[in-house]
Amino acid sequence: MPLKKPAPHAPPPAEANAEMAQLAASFVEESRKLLEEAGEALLALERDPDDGQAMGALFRAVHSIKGAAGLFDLPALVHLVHAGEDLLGAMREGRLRMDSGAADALFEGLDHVGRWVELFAAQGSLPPELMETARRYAAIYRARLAGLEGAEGAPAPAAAAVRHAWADAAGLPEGAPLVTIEYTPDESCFFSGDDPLRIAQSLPGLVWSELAPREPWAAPEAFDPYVCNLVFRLVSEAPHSEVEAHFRYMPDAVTIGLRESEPAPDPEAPKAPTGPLSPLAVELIEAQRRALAEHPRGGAHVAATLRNVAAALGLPVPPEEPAAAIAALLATAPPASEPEPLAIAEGSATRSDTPAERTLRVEQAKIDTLMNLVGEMVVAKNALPFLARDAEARFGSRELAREIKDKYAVIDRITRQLQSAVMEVRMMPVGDLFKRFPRLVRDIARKQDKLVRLEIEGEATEADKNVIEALAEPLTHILRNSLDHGIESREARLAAGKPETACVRLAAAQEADRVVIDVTDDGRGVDPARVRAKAIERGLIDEARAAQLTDAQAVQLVFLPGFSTAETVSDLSGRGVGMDAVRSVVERLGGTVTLESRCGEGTHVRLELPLSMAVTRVLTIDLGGQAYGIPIDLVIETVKVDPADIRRLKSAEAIVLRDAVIPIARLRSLLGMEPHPAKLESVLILRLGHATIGLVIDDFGTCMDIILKPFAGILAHMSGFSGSAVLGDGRVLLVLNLKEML
Amino acid sequence: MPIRYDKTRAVVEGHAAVEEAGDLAAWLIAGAARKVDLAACTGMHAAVLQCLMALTPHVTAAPQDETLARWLAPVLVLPEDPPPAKPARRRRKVAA
Amino acid sequence: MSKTILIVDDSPTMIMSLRSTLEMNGFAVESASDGARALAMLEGGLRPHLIITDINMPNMGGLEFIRGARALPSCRFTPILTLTTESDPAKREESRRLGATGWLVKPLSGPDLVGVVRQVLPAAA
Repeated sequence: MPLKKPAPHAPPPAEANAEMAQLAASFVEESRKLLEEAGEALLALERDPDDGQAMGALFRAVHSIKGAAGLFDLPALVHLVHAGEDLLGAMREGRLRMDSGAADALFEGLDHVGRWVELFAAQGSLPPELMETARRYAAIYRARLAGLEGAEGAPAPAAAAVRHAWADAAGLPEGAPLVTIEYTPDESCFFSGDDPLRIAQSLPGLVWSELAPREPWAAPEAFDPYVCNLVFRLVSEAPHSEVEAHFRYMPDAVTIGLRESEPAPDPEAPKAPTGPLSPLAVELIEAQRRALAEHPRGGAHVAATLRNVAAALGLPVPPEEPAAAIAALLATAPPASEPEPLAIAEGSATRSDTPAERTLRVEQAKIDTLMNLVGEMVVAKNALPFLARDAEARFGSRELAREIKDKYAVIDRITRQLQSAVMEVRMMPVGDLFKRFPRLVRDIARKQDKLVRLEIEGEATEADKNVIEALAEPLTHILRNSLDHGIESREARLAAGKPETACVRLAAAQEADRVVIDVTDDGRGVDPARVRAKAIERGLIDEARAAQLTDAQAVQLVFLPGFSTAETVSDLSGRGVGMDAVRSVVERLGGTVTLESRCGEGTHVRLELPLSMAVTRVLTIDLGGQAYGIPIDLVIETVKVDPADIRRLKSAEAIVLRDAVIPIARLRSLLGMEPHPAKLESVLILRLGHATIGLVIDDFGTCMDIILKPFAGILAHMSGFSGSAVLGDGRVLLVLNLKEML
Repeated sequence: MPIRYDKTRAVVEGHAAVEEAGDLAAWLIAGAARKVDLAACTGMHAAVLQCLMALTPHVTAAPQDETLARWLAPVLVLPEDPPPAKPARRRRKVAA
Repeated sequence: MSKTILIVDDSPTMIMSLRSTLEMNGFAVESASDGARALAMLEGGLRPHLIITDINMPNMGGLEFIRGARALPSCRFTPILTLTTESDPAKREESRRLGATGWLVKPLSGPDLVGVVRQVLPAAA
């Protein structure tokens, strides 16, 4: 996702800008994933504070977010995450325990970070006032840590001043304060990748050195070149802190002493720094300058990073061009005789693909493009049967027609494989969707002071990404309903002899080409009497009709538009959507939703959806010269019937097929067209829900796969059709929505 | 190959890395009269330096690299006058 | 010939950032998303001049990776830098004990990175 606006920094070259944008996009994507992981881990920890794996995962996620965020100008985000990491660090080490208070504070912090990441994705920056929020949470986290600090003891006392006796005898220049170092590398330091000689040689401000064996050398035959037996005595005129930094990886191997300057140096004498620098110092400075001047782009990078780091730490912003500033400082030193050519081949850096990385992240848009191309391929392929028919009918070449049909079969097979391969890519586990629900259930339960355990099953069940994504809303709603209305208060549950902790089960499974999702709770169930009353009150049904409904039928009334009850409007589920919204979403996806309830024992909502919805197989039919499509899964069989065999019962018509009476409808009259008498009527036997219906049409066509495109624009609300598709011969096929018509 | 081994002389060229130390030590221990030519050496790992310090082979030519020579001078016995720079370099190129 | 640096980090963003800085400075970069993969690459014959590894990673973390890498003959002397934060000094100690050469503190600045890399990289190509 490209940033809308580059970070408002001094204008770096366009290339660096593009690079930053790419980095930012990666950061956003990664942070989303990490936040999700952090949320899951936090939930797990709340259930079991001793879950070490979850603790590790949580710490790692937060830690990674912080690491990556430091690359950008996001002081508030870094500040908050940093404080959170400190708190988690203490918990991970067992110094603090996770409790629900800490979990709440961490959840809220993560929510903020999530919002900020999205804000950063949209705007490329964060408003400075967010720092307030960050400070607030940092304070909350730190307050929890504060109790520990006292117990941790005072920081180690400053090391006693070290004085190296050898320094007195070394004949060092007087005047400036000098740092003396005794560096005794660890015996096994070569196996840590160290080169002590190189470390000594590159010491900043080095003015004097001495090198000796630590122990007398062993006899040649006992000599092991890989046991380090060296000691370095070094003197530097660089500041103490710089020397310390140089040896930061091996603090135990060095002692650092200060050799104070002689009191009151002779004012007449030239000061040491203005005197000629030692050749070694000149060499070092020159090397530094070259390193800094090497890459102009590196300079901009340096400057940006420096600014961001300073901002995050609340330090004053450093000068715009540190590289230039430092270079200017260095320029006062005379350059070394002859700058060596750089041993760096620019642009020769190879970016080889890592053989071990087996997964590839692909933007969804690219898969969608691929899917659309496959769709076009399916359509183009469908032109071949027409061509074969033409070859035979118009050009009289049966031979050619058969050739074409053979080729069609091959292309058809490949296209199918291609299609299923692309579909496979689009498949994602329902787990990706399910993982947001533990948090939802937890939050609602806490707000209502209910105890709820969410059991999730079948996370690995896969379905098309579109299907999964479209299910988020309905499932959220079903779960909210369950917690709001289904699950009783703790007291009520205990009074009813049920366990205090309620159980909500979310289970997914694949059944043939459909994915089935069951949401079951052990709450009070849906009260049929109340549903009847509500439906009557809302004018959805009259009293007489309501009385006729069985209890099982009555509970289905919740799916009627406008049923959504007044009580539904709590702050949790009151979003003006009811179960009718759930039903319409699910049906739009080509699925069904059913509800079963046992009063006092619980509710079971079942969603059944197609695994994928990209390709629909239809039977084409002809009606007045126009082709229409009917989803093949509705068609049981096709029959030709003598009009005389059609029985008329009052205004209704029916046929008898294998001793079953099947009511029939005429598509012409459903679409308001003139009747079209035929010698033999073509009748499609369809299954609609649990009913079997015959549909009279002009003629049958063929079966084909189409990419169903829902109507858009002014056609979007046209009833009776579920969409259109373009045929191989360029004609437009209208796909009938028979459930709506009949 | 940063260290080239003749019959009795090891010629160190460029930077002698840590991995070389094992071979160099073994080679030096195998013959008491073995010598080392450091003329074309520009740097060495501390482990290589240790070999030279501990096994004290005769150094036939000091490094032309002044920085390295300055570091080695106090701990190794280097020949008084390093051979003139230019011919040494030419020789190396011919050898390579 | 440019020197090769192997980066081991589960964060693609960190890898992208390190890679860009290092490649800009003339290094060749290989990457792996966890210790196990990195180890497989080393066992498969990769000979980096320097390894930079994160500590907290799924599958195989940095410490275990360092232990594994040091056990390989080809990696006995290879400098290894860990990526740490200021909040886990204990991990630094442990990593050093297991054979890490040093550490880099996140968030990283480009000059720091290049400076440290130049400091620990073996001089010979």
